[in-house]
Amino acid sequence: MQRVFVKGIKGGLGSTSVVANLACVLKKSDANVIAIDLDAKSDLGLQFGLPWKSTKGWSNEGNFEDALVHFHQDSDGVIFLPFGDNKADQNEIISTINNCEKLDCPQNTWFLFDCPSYIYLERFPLKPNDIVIELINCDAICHSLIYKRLQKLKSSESNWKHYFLVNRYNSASVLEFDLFSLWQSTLPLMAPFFINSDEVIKESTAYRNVALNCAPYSIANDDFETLAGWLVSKAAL
Amino acid sequence: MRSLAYKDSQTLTSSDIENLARRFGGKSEDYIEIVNKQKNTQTINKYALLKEINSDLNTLISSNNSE
Repeated sequence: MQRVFVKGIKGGLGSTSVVANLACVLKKSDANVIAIDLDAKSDLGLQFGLPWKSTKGWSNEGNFEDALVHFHQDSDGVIFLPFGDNKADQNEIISTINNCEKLDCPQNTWFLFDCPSYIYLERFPLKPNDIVIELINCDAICHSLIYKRLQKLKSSESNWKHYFLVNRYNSASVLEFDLFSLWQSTLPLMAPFFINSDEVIKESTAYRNVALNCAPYSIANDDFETLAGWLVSKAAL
Repeated sequence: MRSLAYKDSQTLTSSDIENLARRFGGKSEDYIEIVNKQKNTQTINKYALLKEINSDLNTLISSNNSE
């Protein structure tokens, strides 16, 4: 089993669409994929074709056994668990993460957790084999946040595999090129590639699907295949 | 008529350095690293916020080292 936690270093960086697209690409390679929504926005299900009026998820149940009824499977075979429309504190989120380990699933299972940007990773029950993908944009605010995060990671003595991944990279921007080049040669935890800004991601969401199914030859889908291949090389499966 | 003047660049590129290393020996990676450092310094100095963060980080590192 491999756990991957995807979160933005700040809000609105596209962690939900990264989780949905990555899940479908991994599933295509015959892996068993379970995506868990830990974000109170609870919009991961929409990416997998869950009806808009379906609002319930694990947060609506008192315990994980009752939440099992909220697991769904999309047309690609990805299993997912929506957050729901109730509140959940940090302890309940941690409890959900821990309970997922008790699920009876094959050895080659990938758990993808869509995490909100405001959670404190340091308080999560992360293990050395866990992978955390922290999404960033090529902008100066992210530059500031990355260095603050690096200082926190250093002081917390984190032992999980932590990476920064540039999402929505605009190759026409001089600033983005400058920042990406700088980060590539100075930051120790940078993923060696980026996810391009591609209209296909927004369009496929509008069509209630993912880039793999809507535009399999798109730059976006290429990028997610690169991400999936790179994660496989980092995974402990 | 404007003549097409040959523009002689003062900046060495990665391939120039690799050619020099091939001709005279040495590791081209070392030289490319220096070029990258210069490029990084240029980028940091180009943007005010990056310059400020870099300066604060250097101060922090030197104070940690002196402790």
